[in-house]
Amino acid sequence: MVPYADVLKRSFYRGMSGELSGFENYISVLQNEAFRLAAVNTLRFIALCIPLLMAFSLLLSVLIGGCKYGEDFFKTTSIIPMALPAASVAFLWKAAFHKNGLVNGLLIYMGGRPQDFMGTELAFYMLIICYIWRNAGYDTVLWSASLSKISPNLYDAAFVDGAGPVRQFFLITIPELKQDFFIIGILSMINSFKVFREAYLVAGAYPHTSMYLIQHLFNNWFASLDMDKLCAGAVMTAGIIFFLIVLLKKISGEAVK
Amino acid sequence: MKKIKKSLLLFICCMSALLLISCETDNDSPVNSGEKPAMGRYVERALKYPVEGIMGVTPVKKPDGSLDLYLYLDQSPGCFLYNTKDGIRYEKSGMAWFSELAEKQYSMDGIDYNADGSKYILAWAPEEGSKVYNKVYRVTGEDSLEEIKMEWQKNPAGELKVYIGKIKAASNGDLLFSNRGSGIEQYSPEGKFKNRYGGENDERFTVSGDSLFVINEDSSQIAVYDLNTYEKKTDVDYDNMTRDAVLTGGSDGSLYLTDRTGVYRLAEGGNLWEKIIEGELTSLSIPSMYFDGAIETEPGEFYILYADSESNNSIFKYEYDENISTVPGTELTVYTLKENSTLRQTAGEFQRKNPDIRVNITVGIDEDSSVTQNDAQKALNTEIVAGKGPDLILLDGMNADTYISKGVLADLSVIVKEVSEGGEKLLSSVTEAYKNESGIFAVPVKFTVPAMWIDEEYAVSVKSLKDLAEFAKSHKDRQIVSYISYRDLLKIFSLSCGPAWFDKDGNLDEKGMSEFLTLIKEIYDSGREFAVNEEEEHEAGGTGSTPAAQAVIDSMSDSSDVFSWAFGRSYTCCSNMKSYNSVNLPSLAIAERKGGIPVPLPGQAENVFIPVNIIGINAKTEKLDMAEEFVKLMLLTSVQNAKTYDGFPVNIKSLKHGAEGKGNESMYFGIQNNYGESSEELTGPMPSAEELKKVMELCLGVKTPYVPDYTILEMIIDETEEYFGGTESVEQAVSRIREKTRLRLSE
Repeated sequence: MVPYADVLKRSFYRGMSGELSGFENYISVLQNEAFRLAAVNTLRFIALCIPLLMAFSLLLSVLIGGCKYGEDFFKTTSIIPMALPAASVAFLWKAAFHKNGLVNGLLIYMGGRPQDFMGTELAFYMLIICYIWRNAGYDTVLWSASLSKISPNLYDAAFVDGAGPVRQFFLITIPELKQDFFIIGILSMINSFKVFREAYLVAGAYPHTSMYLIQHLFNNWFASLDMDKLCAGAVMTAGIIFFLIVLLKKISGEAVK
Repeated sequence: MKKIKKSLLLFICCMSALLLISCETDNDSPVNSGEKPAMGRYVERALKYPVEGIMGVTPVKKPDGSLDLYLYLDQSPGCFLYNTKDGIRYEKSGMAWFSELAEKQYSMDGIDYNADGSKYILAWAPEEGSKVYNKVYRVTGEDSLEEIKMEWQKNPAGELKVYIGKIKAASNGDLLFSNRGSGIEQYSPEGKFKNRYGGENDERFTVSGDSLFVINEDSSQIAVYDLNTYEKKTDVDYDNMTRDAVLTGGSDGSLYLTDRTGVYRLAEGGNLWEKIIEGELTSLSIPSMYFDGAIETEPGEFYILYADSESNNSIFKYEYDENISTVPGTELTVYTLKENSTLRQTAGEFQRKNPDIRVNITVGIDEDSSVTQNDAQKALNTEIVAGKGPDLILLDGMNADTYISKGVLADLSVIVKEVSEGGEKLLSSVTEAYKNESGIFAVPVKFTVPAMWIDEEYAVSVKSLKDLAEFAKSHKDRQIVSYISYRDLLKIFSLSCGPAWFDKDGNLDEKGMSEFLTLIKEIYDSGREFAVNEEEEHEAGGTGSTPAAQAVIDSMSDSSDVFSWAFGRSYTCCSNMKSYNSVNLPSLAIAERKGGIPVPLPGQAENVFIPVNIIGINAKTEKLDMAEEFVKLMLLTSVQNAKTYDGFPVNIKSLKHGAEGKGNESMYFGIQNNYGESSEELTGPMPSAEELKKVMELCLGVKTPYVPDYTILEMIIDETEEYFGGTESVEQAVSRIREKTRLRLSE
């Protein structure tokens, strides 16, 4: 708690001089164009990515669970992207999405026009793809663990009552997984912050505006010793994350009820 | 309740222990902890040669432990022998044999004594039609020369070629020579060939006891051979060995290795190095001084001879003093992102004046590490924020304005004033580059000058980028500046135009940027047909710590540009002049093409200079006096005169001293370039005093400081591809740049 308290304290003081500034830093941060852009991008990223990731990985875990053979193999291979070092992922990303990269090569081969993946709005969607590819395996394993807790008797009974796989999924699987929804959601959100490493390694400190995240800004503020703005920004970000967690818990809790 | 109390007590105990651990300071040095510090270290003492005006020295240890110094002077017969037992008193000895050598019109290339004191002379004695360039003599009891009939051997290529770099006499009486292209050769005292060692190009060797030590070609290991059996005994590793490393034999078969980091001893038969003299605490670490190996005269007594590029020779004695601490108790910490010669030079000079203070230079980005500039700067910022920052910061590669505006740096106005008023006038346009209404918080102690070499008749009409573009339109028979693509032009002219791109508030000046792009495109289009290899453009690669744009600017004044100018393929040649050495190549080109002068690089700003070696003092340092002395030293001639080739000095006396070209006399050099299928060559003497004076005048006239912002430059290059390709208008390009830079500027 001490470092957090120090950050909170510093957010009310002026830079390195240590003069009290009240809410000046907060006002300055809220008026900062870069902060507003980074905050919107980050929230948009979280809002899009987490539901997508959770839904996709749940689907994967159900499909893997339904496999008669090779369940362990698929689980293991799906988690490999998460085990890859960020630098390797960045290298793969560059090789694939560079102006002269593999994807553009394929597009040209198929008669299409090459796209500037990193220098246009497409960069944001590239970031989403990277995040989902990297984390889907991990979430799949989590969902698989939750699925294994559901009693097979429930499915047997439903089958006897004439319920097909889709009805079983919505009437048995989903309600039974609600308890784990919160924890997987939190873990996915935490992992979403880690996507900055790849984004930074691929596009540097100043990427295309669509993938400029709050971490880029904090990183740059730290490099330029803007500690006052950095602390005020960090306090506000922590507040928003706390609010999101509470919201997620509330949604999850109500769902369980 | 009891349980709660117990738990509470345990929790308080744990927290107290944690606090005690975390509050422990890192002042664990013996000085701070009150423990008795380790004592004893070698102390450096400057000695005086018995005569002045020495042009070179060859030292040889006599069997009685005294030191013979062969001093080369500009007076007949050219070389004089002095002997000293303590480095203070010298005794002049006769050397009739040297006159004999001079009569034959031979010169002495080397000399060594064997165990009984017999002298062996390696003479440079070329004879027409022969590739045997050397002869070997023994000095007889009558002080005359007796030639040894050497059984020279053919080299591995089957050719009889004798071109010897060094002679050493072994304890068994044998003679060893490094014969270029053949390796190390061993002969008996009568000249009978015995053996050949090492690779063909191994030249760095010494002998000690019955062993021969040879540094291998890639400086990775030292091979040890037995001189009696000719067998290799072992290979000894020495981490981070550089081309500076020099080997010398010690007593009892030991070996000494001297390099910038210190003097190391290897006991006979051992493979572990013992550091006996710390380089950082001696002149060894001063980059402008070149040294010979450490000569051990008596146990615990060493001499090291130094010379600089201006042929100033000096001799230092190193004696063990057991009454001073092994490591100085006080430490002055200096941070730099990258290795810096001026900083090393200052640290060495500072160390000489303050032997009880250790200057600890922390380099953020090691040459071999993968640490990025951003990572290194963040690590520094963490220390500064935690109040544990270095005492001094070299701000090169960092945003000095950030540190100034955040109050990290102390005011240096008093120091600058003191130096200026102390008789050493400083170039105020450079030293005041970071002056604001509160003072001077960072001082560039060197600067570089973006310049253009052009014919005098054209120089009058080309003062700005606009003039240059006009000139380009009317002279389309060749390129104005040698370039391959528009990127080269953007990078080169960013140096003289950068100051016009942003207004005082740091916002993009769209008019200035638009004008820049338009003019560069005009220059680009006018000479485009000559850029034949545009598709195969070779981008100077950036590294983890160096952006590609910076790599290109660092390599400006690349010899290929000079050749283009020298041989009439371009009207001008651009360079970012870093020292008077930057004049060497253009000077050869001027001689080749019979004309040309340096002018400030035409741009949108006038007389631009780039501040380098920007030093600042941490405002929170507890060693302010020491730090101020360090900064003062950086500005004085003792540091500014040193040829470290990283910028022009701000001290006007040093600037004038450099323009005298001392050390250039009778020096010639040459350089080759492959152009197409032919080869071009530029050879000649070093720049004349007149040429250097013109460059000095250019330096004295600088007025606009500009620190290149490579991130912005990379953005401009990226966003103008379509514009230079002709598919976008200049307004669209500027708009893209505005969008791209907006984010950075809005932070």
